[in-house]
Amino acid sequence: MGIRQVMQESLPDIFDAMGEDVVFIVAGGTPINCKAFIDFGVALEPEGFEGMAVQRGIIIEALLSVLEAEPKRGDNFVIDDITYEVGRVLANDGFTIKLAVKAV
Amino acid sequence: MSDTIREIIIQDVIARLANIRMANGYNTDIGRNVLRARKIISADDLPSCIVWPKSETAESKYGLTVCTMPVLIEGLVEFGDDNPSVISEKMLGDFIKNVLSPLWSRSPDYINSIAYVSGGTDEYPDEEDLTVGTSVMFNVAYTTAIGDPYSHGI
Repeated sequence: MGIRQVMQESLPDIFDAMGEDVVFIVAGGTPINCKAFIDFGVALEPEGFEGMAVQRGIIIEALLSVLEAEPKRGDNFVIDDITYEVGRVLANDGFTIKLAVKAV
Repeated sequence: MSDTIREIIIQDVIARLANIRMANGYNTDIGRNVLRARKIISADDLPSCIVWPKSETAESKYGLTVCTMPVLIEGLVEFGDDNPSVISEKMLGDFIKNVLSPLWSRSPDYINSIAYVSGGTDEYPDEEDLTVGTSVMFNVAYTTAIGDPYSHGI
């Protein structure tokens, strides 16, 4: 059994056990209750300048198999009554997707 | 020890930029925090502009040292629901209007001339970003006595 098969079988258990309760909302679609990880970090922006502002960088990682559709720009995640709008996809390994989001 | 002519001019520029407030007829409030050569800006300090005095050129002429100091000025602001390009253009307009205004009185005035060299935004924010910036470069010409950067020489 290869590493990808191990990940495929174990990732749902990991998200269920350790993920945050999330509602994924696609415009015009049915909200999906699922689990996701949310990371708060530091983002230095904007790029291309000598001075940069320290802003809050927020990344959500979710399990693709439960989202039904791959999140795209403008879709929303709701966690603890806070809505996070998807900006762009940072990574997609076929099992999970990492998204740069901002609170709206 | 007193300041060099260059240092006095830099302080003049910083004081001048502080006038960029909407209450003074400008389109932005980036003069709220005028910072000098600071790379990392707290989100609490936005909107702000940062002054970067750059390496100058100099030549000896008529018994004086004639210097041209490039001054890079960057504006950073959270654009909220506005289009970041629109905000960027407002900042650029404010910088040019502020620095090149004939109403800028300096006493003593050590600046021979100020020329607008370049300005605008090369990199716009990504979708998840909150901040937009614009930069503008001016060439500031001044003179000192040869070998004495503390003396105007005239």
